[in-house]
Amino acid sequence: MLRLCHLVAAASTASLVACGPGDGGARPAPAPPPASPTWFWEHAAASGLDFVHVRAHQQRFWIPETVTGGGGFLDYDGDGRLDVYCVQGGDPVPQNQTNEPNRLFRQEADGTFTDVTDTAGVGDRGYGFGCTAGDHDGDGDTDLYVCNLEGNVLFRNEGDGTFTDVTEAAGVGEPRWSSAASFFDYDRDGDLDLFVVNYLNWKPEHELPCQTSYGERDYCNPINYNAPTRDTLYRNEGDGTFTDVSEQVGLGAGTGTGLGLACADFDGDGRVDVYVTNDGMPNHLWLQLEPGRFTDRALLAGCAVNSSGAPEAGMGVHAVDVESDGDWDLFMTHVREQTNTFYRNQGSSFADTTASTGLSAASVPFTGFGLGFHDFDLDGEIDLFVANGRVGLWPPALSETDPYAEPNQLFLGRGDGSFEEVPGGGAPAVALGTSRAAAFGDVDDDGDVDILYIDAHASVRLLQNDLPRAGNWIGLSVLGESTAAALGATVRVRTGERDRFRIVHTSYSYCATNDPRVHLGLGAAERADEVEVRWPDGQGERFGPLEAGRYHTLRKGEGR
Amino acid sequence: MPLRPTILATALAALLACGGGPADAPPEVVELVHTAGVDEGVVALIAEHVARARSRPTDAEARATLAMVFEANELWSEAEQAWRDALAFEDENEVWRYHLAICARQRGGAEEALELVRRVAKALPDMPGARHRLGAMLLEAGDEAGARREFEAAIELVDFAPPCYVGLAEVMVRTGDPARAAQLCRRALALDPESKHAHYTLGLAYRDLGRMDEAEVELNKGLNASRRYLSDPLTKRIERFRVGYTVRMLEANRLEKAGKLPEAAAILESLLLRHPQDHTLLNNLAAVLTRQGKTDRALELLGRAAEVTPGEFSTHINLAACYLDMGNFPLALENAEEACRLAPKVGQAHFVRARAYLALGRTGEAYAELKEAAALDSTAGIFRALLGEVAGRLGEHDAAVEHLEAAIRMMPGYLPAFAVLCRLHHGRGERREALEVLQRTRQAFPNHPETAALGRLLGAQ
Repeated sequence: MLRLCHLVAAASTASLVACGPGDGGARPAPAPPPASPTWFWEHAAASGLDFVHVRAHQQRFWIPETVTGGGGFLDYDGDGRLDVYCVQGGDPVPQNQTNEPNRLFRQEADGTFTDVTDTAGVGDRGYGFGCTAGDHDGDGDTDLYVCNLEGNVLFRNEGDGTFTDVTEAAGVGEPRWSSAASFFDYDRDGDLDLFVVNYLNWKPEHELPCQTSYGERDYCNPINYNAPTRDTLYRNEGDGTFTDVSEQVGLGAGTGTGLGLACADFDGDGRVDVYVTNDGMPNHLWLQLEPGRFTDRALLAGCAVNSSGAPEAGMGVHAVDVESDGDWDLFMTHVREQTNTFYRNQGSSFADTTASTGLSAASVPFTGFGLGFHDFDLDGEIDLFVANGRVGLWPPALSETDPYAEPNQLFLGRGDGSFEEVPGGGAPAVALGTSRAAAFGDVDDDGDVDILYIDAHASVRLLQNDLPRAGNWIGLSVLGESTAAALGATVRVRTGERDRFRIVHTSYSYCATNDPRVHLGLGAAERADEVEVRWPDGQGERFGPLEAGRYHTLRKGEGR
Repeated sequence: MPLRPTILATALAALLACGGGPADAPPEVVELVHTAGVDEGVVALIAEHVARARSRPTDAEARATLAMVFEANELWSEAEQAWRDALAFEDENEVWRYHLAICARQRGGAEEALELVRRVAKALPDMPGARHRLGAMLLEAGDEAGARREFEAAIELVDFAPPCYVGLAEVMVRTGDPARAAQLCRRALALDPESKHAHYTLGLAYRDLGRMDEAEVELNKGLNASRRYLSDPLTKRIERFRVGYTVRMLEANRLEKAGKLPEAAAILESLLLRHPQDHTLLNNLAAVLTRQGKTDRALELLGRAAEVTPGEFSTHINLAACYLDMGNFPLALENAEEACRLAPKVGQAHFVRARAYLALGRTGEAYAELKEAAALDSTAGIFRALLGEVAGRLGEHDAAVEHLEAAIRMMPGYLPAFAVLCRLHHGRGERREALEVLQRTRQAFPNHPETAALGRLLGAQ
């Protein structure tokens, strides 16, 4: 029989005082941060980004309201400057035509932004979640895919500042509730396929009257709806159309409540795999064990559930090589009382080594969504930013205006695989919000990584990185045969005896599209001695040496 | 939304306790100011104990009892403050400090909780609960050597407690000794064969030993595990204060999963006295009663649920299941149809419709429904098991084997899937495959009569 489990949302409390400073003093960086550091200055409104996200005009406690809030960076007009796209919520009622539109902001030469939504034709009004950018038709410009509650949208970039909605012709209008997506070339045929993560088979009539143990109406756990769904893989046919090959490639073997994804070759066999975080259900690790056939190996690989065997509330995820050992580790965010989790790639399996990273206890009070590993201070060691915001009423509230608001967090990489929290999240002056998507990119092209994040039911935030630099940097635009980013390529950057590995990708974090350029802090190194690119088709090329302090374009066929 | 008054009261109490009040004044008694919507039984119990504490403002025991009431009903913030108040009067009470740590951890204070439990374990080295919990916390904090020390100490104190062995096994997995981990997990499972955490950890150990088939079985058995903690001198007392709806519902759910149906039903019946119109409660109690064979009472409750919340798909699913058990197949199908109409994307609705079709002999339609159910929810092993059985009946042998093998992977403790698969192979003259399934069945259910029956069927005694 059907049991209605956990109809009453779990309720407990969070600390009035956010996490305190780390122990300090252990960081070997050349220029230790000040005691109360401001790493980032918030410039959204000042630069013309006036997007205000709407979770719901009338709060109904319907579950879509808890996870909406996407957006990120893309260079839609090819001028070399990052533009911004923000995905709007609205009201999650069926067939709603009255939502405010998504918005596209073009970055001008002076660093300000101009709303070009109408001109560009990308003002979709679906109740939205994530988005992803990539050149699906190989014409050299960046196209845009938007994930919605009802019917996703593919905007083809016409190369003249406008887009055309080609969803129907392309056959990618996934009707299910989608949260995130990624362009990647799974079959190595030279064009970008599309993986779409779906969340729930949900309709308003499935809503349930969940409450906190204080008796207040609150959002339900997704598991209450008993309605997991399958993810979708669209194969690019190379003629502007896609074919849904989900069942054919094996995705029908697993349903879930997907919110995040990471595409990378996790088992080192040369074929790209997909990791999907599920909310309250075991995560999926879709390994491409044979060409064109995916098998979920998450449980056996040890990255489906936590170390006790319990599924956790997977939100955002980033595939990253924190230890510089050449394989892709996974870090994902979770709901409060669960730690965010770092899975270290051991080759054929993963080990939950969160505790030894120092990222465990600091995450327990908060609900993480967006995240990104970047070397924000350019000391040569990768750091971490986590965007937090509650999904339920857990007293005490930390903000008088938003009961779901939580502080975001910034962690300094110590260089040994562990991290130390920066008080105030690096932006202590910014008001708390219920953060969802966090996107990363060098928006002002000054050589450090900035952050855009979407607070649910609040104004968009742009954190510009103004920290005094602790070292040199290098940026790489890794391009395929067109002028668009070679999504899925991997890069090994050698400085002295040290290698650093990165993926060229736009889809990581939560519901975000990110700067596809590879950006590295080099610490004291003054150049990259060698850069090796492994292209999505498996071929490799070497470039360099490349001097620090600037962006380099690495084009396929121009290396050695 | 404004800051809730209960929080302000708690914060004020905390400030006073920190030295903001008069020098010798006892801290204000913590209370639940904002009571609207809180379970009436909880509110009444809290009011009683608040009054008691106020009448004896310097009585540490009264403060501690109030803390227990809050903790029992998962009002963690208030419980934490009440424990602090109690300790302000009796700072040497380490068991109270232990519970302060539990509450602090629940509200997110992981680091403070660790320090508190560390202090308790030092002061009370013979308290197994504290040693075990400290081990778990140290493991979470990355101190494997410390965790090992604590789990080993806990085993010395209570060598019959499975969680201590599982904790130590986790340390062994992390430190690269899977053989020892497997040994510890098997010890835990000998003490408690149902320990999912032990199964999961054993799966990890087998994986690291390269025993992949066994690993997959154990990992699946361990899915949805949760870490268990040992009881302490206050556990039973605190349990008696669990009167709140949420905690009682969860407790009933836990008991039902453990097969303790009368105990689960008793809790739900007592809740129903206070919440006679609660749709969830009516459904959950009906589910338990149906499992006990008390279908008349279940039907009555589901009828009430349908009146309270008409058009609710879950009630129709449960009604269909109940009618199936009663043998009233047309009514079962009618309710299943309604459930599918209300929730066409819910796998359970299609599953119960498939069962109704099967009962009515409409096997082909049942097969289609089961495929739909499995496509909608691939995590439900029971869908795959029945799908396999029906595929076998329809002569789709390969599909049947695939579905039954999937069901066994997903539900390694579900004997019927093994039995159907074994019989399927036997029926097709595939003796080698049938014997292989029998071997797996014997490993998983060595003493079950059905295992013996399969052995007799295959002539492999």
